[in-house]
Amino acid sequence: MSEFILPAIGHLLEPLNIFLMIAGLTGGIIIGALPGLTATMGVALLVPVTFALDTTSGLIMLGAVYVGAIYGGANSACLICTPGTPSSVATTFDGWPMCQKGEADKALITALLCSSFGGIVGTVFLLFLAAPLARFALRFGGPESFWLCLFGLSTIAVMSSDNMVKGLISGAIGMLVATIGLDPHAAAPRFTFGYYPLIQGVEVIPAMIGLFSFSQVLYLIGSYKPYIASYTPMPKSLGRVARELFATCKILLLRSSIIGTLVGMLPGAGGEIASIISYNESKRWDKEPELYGKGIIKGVAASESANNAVIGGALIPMLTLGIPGSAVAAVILGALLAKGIQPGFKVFTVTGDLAYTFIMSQFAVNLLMIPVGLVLIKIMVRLLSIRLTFVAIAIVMLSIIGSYAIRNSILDVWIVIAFGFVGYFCNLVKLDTGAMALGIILGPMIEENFGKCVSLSKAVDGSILQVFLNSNIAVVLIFCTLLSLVTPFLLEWKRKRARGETGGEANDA
Amino acid sequence: MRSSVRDIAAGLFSLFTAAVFFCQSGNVEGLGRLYPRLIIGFIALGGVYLVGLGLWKRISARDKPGGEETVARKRVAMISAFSLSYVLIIPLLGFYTTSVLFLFGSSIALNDAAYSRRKAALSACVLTLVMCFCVWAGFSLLLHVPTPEGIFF
Repeated sequence: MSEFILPAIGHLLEPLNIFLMIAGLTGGIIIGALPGLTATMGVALLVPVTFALDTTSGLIMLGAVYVGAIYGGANSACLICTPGTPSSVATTFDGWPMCQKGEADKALITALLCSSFGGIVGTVFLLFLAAPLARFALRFGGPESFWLCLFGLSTIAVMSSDNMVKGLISGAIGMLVATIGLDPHAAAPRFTFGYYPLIQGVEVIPAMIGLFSFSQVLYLIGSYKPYIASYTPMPKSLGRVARELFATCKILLLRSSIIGTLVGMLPGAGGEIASIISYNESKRWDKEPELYGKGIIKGVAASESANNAVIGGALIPMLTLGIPGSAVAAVILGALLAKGIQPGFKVFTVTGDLAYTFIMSQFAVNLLMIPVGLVLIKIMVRLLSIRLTFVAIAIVMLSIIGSYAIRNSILDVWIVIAFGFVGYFCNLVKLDTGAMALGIILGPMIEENFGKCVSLSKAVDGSILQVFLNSNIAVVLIFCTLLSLVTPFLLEWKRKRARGETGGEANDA
Repeated sequence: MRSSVRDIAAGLFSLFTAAVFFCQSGNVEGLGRLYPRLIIGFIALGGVYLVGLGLWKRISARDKPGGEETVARKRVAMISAFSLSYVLIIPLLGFYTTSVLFLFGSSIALNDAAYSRRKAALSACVLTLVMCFCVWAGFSLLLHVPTPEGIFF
């Protein structure tokens, strides 16, 4: 490995590669910030450009777009409560309240620094632990993935601990909505309500845009506010946020980044699951979990470090086994294959120069993201000085073209509108739109893996329970799921005990 | 909105959703039916619980008054109507033509008291031009993302 590192650094210092990293990051951040345009779309659109470049430079640029787009989603999540990519759904939980409190720059800089940190941790894993981690990822079959998704879903219990029933119902409604379309087992149309285009199913991104973005437009327009939020720039904000993160979020950042990397390695499980699980774990282990969701940097830090750490994780099985850990990794894999490079362990020896340059470029890109991101934050934050009416109207237009762009289907535009009204109603009656989003994201994966478990139990002539409990990983995940479900009760018990002790001390005094 | 009303409304919404999906689940078989039916059952139970909770709060006088901010209902209704019309007209007139109408029309109609009519018209023009140009440059020119087409463009 060491013989490839120095030449790799040399490649990165070439002016063209530096330019490609900056251009890729800028483009990626803008694509990520626009609702509807995803990292996958951004990378896929730029694959043809790489054919004009040499393989190394092309890969560096695709990697930069990937990193930029995943981080970019946080900007719209914080500024207009619209997750630019599904990975930044959990960022809205605290990023948007921070923006409403007038701390938009703090939220955005937190997202930037944590994304960079998460990305670097993911790359460290990619550089040093690729082989053992890839073998671990291979042990994830149907039952393990099923329990991982259920573990992700169990976060609803912690997320909506103040009204768990409404949270669970919202999550279930999301899962039910996700069953619209083709039945994955029999390939028969299901819940199409006689409207043929619904056979395509409900795409996640338009549903998210509707639930978070269009519903917010309705809320903001009806709020009599002149601007989205008040905003006073914080002097020396970068230093302040960095110090606060270093003082309060060291363990949180490391834990979230490791979760992100591990989840990223698993095919099918991406940044959205990683960020939600990390958010949940941070809330569970925090001394003041009640502050989450009200606008604290820990919430943004957990979500953003995890979703960018996913990148390193997703690249591990792609480079070592040729199995992409995410949709974007699949596109990059396609670009590699088109260039005649066969992924596998040989990629680190025969084409070690290319592989290590790409890995080292991930470090460089994550570091470069800080200055590039800071410049773009200064531009994007000006959105808050535009009158709310204009911003709201512009969001409607962007939501519509963004949702249409995904499948070139007008159905997706209607999904935005329908979920916008549903989201607005849910906010009025305190049903949890975050939990509903989680249900829509995880529902298809749960159903698919449940189907695999049932088929497996039939194949081995055993019970489904036997299949569920057959591996140690599944047992650990079941334990984590149960722990997650009882967490709100444990927290409540802890709170009552603390209150009792305080009350007792007051009485003694 | 009082907390009992919120609970009853959430419960009725859940029951309505469960009922609509239940009626549609008849034509599916096997695992493809079992999984959604389990979810439908759960939602229905939750809906009954929420309606019951709301009624109990009303009867036992444990209702909490809602301390929420006032809502400009007329503006919400207007942006909803404009958005619905926008989506309806896009396939007829095309994306950019409809967007011009939507951006300009809704900016003028939702103009708040801070702007005079002339200033509002000018702002609406600027918004329309800037947004249409940005979307055209970003989506169509740079990324080659197709936009919905109609009679015009």
